[in-house]
Amino acid sequence: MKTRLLLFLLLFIAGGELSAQFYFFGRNKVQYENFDWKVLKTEHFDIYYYSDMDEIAQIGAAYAEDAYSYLKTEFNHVIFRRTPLIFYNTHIHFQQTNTTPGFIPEGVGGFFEFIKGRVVIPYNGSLERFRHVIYHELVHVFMTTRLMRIANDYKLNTERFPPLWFVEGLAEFYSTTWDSRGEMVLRDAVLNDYLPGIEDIYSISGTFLMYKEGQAFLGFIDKFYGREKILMLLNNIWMFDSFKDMLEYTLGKPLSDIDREWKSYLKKMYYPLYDNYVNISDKSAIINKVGFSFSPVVKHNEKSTQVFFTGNLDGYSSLYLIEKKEGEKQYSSPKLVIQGERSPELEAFHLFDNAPGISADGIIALSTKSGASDAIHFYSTDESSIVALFSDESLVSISSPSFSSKGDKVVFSAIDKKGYSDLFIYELSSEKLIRITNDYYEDRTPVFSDDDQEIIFASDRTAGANKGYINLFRIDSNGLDIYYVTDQPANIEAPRLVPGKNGLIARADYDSVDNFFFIDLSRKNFQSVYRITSFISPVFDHWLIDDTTMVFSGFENSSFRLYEKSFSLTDTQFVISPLKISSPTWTAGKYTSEIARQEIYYENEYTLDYAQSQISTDPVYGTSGGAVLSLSDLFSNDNYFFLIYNTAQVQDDFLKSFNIALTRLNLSERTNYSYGIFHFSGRRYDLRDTDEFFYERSFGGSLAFYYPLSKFDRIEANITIANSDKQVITGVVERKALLHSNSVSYVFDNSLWMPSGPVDGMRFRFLLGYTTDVKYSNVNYYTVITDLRYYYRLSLRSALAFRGSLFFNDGKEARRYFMGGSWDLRGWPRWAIRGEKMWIQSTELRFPLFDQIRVTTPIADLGFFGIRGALFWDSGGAWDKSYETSIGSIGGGIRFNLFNVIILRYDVGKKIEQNYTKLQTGLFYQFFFGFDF
Amino acid sequence: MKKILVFILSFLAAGCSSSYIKIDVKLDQSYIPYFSGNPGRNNYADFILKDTLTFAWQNEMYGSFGFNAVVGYDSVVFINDLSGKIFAFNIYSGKRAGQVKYRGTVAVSPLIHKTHIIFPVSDYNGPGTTIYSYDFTRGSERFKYSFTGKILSEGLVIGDQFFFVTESGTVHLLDQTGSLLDSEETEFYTHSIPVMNKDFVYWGTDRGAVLRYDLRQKSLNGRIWISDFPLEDGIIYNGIYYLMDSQGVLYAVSLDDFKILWKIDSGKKSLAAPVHDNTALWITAQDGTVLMINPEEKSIIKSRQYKEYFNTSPLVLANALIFAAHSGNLLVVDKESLDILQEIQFDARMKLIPVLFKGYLFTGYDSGILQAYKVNTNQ
Repeated sequence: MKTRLLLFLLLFIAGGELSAQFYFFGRNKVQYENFDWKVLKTEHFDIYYYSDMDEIAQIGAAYAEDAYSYLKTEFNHVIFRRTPLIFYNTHIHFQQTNTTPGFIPEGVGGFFEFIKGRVVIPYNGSLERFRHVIYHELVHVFMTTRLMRIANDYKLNTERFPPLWFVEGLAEFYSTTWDSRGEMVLRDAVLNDYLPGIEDIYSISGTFLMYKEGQAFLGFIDKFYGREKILMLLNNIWMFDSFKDMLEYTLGKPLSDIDREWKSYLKKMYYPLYDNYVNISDKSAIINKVGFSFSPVVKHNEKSTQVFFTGNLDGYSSLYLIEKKEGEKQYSSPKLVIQGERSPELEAFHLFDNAPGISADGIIALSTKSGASDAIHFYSTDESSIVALFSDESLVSISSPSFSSKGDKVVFSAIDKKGYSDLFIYELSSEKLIRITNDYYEDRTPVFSDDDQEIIFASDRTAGANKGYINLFRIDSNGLDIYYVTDQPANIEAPRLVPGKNGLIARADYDSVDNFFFIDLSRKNFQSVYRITSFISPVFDHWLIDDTTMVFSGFENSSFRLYEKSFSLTDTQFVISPLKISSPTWTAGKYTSEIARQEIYYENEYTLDYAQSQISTDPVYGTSGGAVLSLSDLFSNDNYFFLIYNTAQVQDDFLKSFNIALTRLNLSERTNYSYGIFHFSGRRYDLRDTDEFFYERSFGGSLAFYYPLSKFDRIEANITIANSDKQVITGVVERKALLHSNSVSYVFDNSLWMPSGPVDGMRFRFLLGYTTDVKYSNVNYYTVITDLRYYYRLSLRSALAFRGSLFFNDGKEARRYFMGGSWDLRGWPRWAIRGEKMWIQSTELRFPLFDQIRVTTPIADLGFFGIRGALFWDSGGAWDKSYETSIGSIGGGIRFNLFNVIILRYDVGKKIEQNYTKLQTGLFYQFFFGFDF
Repeated sequence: MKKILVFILSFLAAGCSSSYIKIDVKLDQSYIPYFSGNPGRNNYADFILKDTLTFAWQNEMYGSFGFNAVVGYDSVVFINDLSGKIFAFNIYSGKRAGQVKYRGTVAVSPLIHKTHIIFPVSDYNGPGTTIYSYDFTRGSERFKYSFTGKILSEGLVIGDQFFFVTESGTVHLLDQTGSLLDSEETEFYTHSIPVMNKDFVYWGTDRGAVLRYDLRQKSLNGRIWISDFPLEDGIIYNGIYYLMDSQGVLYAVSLDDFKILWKIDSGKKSLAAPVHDNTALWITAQDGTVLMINPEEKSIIKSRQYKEYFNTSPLVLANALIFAAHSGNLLVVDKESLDILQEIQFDARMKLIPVLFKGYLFTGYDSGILQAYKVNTNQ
């Protein structure tokens, strides 16, 4: 136990030459920005922001203090500790945060991090969304501190925590009203009969549907049981170990009865909608149902109709094409046009709320993340290539580019470094950028008017009785006066002009979900809105083929599909009313309290992240113990790790048996670096050493650099200097050395992962290293490692995976590599094959085996999801001086991801022995854990 | 090995403490038998505060209070702890006079009946509660009575009987031997403290109804709907039951004919019972506002907002108000001007409602710190 722990710690902490065989691929979180953090201190919060976001930070501070006043009353709870709020001006900058170690998907709107109690929120151009997220995360803060208080008051362990659906449902319930996105998912789930009840809500854990069902369920409790019951569900947590028992006690009936009431309530609410609304697929033709399809644009002529659309059909968001030639009835299968998420230039396609544009001569304008910020790529459909690129360092996020009728200009929405979401025009020929609006109202989905003299766009600047709604506005292209196009108690956006008609079609949520409406522009002083569709589930972006046919994306039965529909503008008039002309005037409140407000520059504030100690005792090695602790600054940019451990077997050895390591890891800039010092001493079993079991005392230091070239590739460099005193047999076989190790690596990874391992893309590492004893010349070898893993996608969930690796050490006292076992050469004893040189090849077919296995017992129901299968062929060889034999194995296995904590693996097969001349008699059976290669 | 064992045993012994209360006390006619000390639950003491509060002592319980108050007998005060303990402290020295511990939680102040303390212990993992009667002069239990339900609101001593209502609205009336005299389901959840007037007990419910229990008939015999919202704690003064709902509307219910006399919307949310000082009603609101209401004119006479969070009633004296703010301050406020006369700051949430007993003011804050202040009054 002791030596294994020591080995683990050595591998984890020490520098380059000790860790050559175990390394990490992975993508990179690139710090493109050098954030100059400032602190705004309010009565209850420390608000961290940077660069020009002062105004947004002050507005956010006002929201935060309002939320505090509201929530302390609702929760009957006050928080004494000042809560840090960290604001980023865009989601792109937010993705660079080190406050959470992993990558942040585009759908994450903010988070509350438990260890340091930080709330981290991106601003994305909309003050209302910003307010919502601030309230949402502060509900988490109040809930968590309240639960900690209850655990402390009642002397309970802190494992009594509500389930995720309640935690997120509570946050949504107290932060926002019911909206069209919530209605969309809940309505669809009920009408298509896939909504789980509260008893089974774990099956949708972590999804947006879970958030919204949680919120809606609490609304149901509010309505039928009383609002006070909601906080009772929190305050009563001390009464029962099980949340279910406590919920049943608080509401006074079994959960099965409550679930039945809940589902009946939803059915009564939604089923009658069919009286007035229809399914999208009943009134439209599905033209693509593969994967998730968004935002179509159309290139149409007499010969064909080509529909280009953004979507995710295979795990990567990309641009696709479906086509229908003249005379054909069906569109073709989707063809990949531009693949995203595999290269830094097309790092991410923002699928929601970001439609591409297309010019009359077939140039597609598409915005994607490209390095540090968004860029617009101009793709020629004739040349099938990207012909131009636009980006500007002052603009961080770009969305919804739209061409003028002549195709010489593009209007788009962008978020700048202040956080403002405004309109811009880019002139293609002169490459001139013109700013049209410059304020904190969110302006988006702009289009040129027929004569290109005006821009029509959606904005939240609606004032007066309809304040809070998004309406359509128009502005001349010089950016002077802004006029209402609509002033409705509905959210109206994504306008598209109808060819030949003086009007446009936009989507609006009059029906609680989006449908299409025609807006007549012929009368400037009146707003006339006509219904085009009456769908029961929402529509998204659309494109008009002509004045009677449209292509659009719609959500139905948990899928985003593409549809084509004919429409008429002679439907019943919906709304006609006078339109006010005057410009909107609402203003956002800012935090102005002079007493508590301070603004200062941030200086590193370090706090403890974790500390853990361990004592062990056994009859052979006696008692030993140690501790690890980690601390970091508020942004987790600067991290310190400290390890201390003692392996003494007798009292005299106590001082010299201390194992200590201190490492600093700095992630604040693009080049990440770490350095540290260490002293390790004790007996250990090291497979990489020819002596295998020995005593070694080693002390020294290490320095490492990691420079990400992009999200997908990086360069690593490591330098380690270690004084090593090795004793195999004390006084008989000993070796001293002053070891100097250097290595440099290139790493590439754009792989796509399924639950048990990668299924698409590639991973590659190339390493050159050199280790030498600069004092006694007892060690001197060079290292070459090449490790290539390629995944050829066969279908959505299956792939052919290939691995080819060469590990090469050559010289004096060169370390050995080892293989064998479930992670490389299957069937062979784990780590039993060793050599200074080693090669491995693995070819594996990966496929889904069982989607779901359910076991129902009288006590509990068990569900096992996503069990995958594999057929494999491994081969390899290891040698020191002369190559001896090649070995391998063939077989099959199953993999099971257990709660995203561990992958269980079971393989069965035959070993291939003696240079492929002999197959093992019988079979091997191997059970272990770990991801696929 | 022996040394290690001795070390471990002595370590354990030091950590353990005895679980009993056995105190010599004198017969006391002026003790506080239950939360607030009077059946109408009115936290008013007709004393004139002559000076600022003088800190006397503090003691730490290593536990946590609920939102209740100490009860006292002779030279001892008793207080409950949410982790299942009852503590006794000497009011003069502040020394712990004893404690009893049970597995569960004691969410309400104990009742005192002669030389017994009576308190409910609710299960940590289950729907049950056990009511214990403990003789604090002998250090022994007299009875225990178990049932299904949680007691989260204060009980009442009525002669030789004990009255409790569970959170789910079940009444339990016991005699001094622990025998059940009556148990009745009302089917109304409640978080409102029962109050008594003549032979009736009243309390508000989470559905906005006021219930009335007849102690002579030993049955529920009245219900009126006064609000659409949950009702908070109330008080009885001069035959009128004053209580607020969760939206800040103050109701006055006449107990003679059991009807609403009047109501006014204070415009402020409050979780605390009002206090009547023979002239006006005082209300503390969650946003830190204190309001003085004239019950004759049914109007707000004056108000002041402090930078505090109030969720408990103040102690109202003849010339001052004493607030234990959950936001961490003990405030003494002049009743006329509403100016702060004294402010004692804590970096913790105040929990215990201030109570006067034998010349001391008792209050407490997280986590389990009980404090006593010497109070100079005209008595």
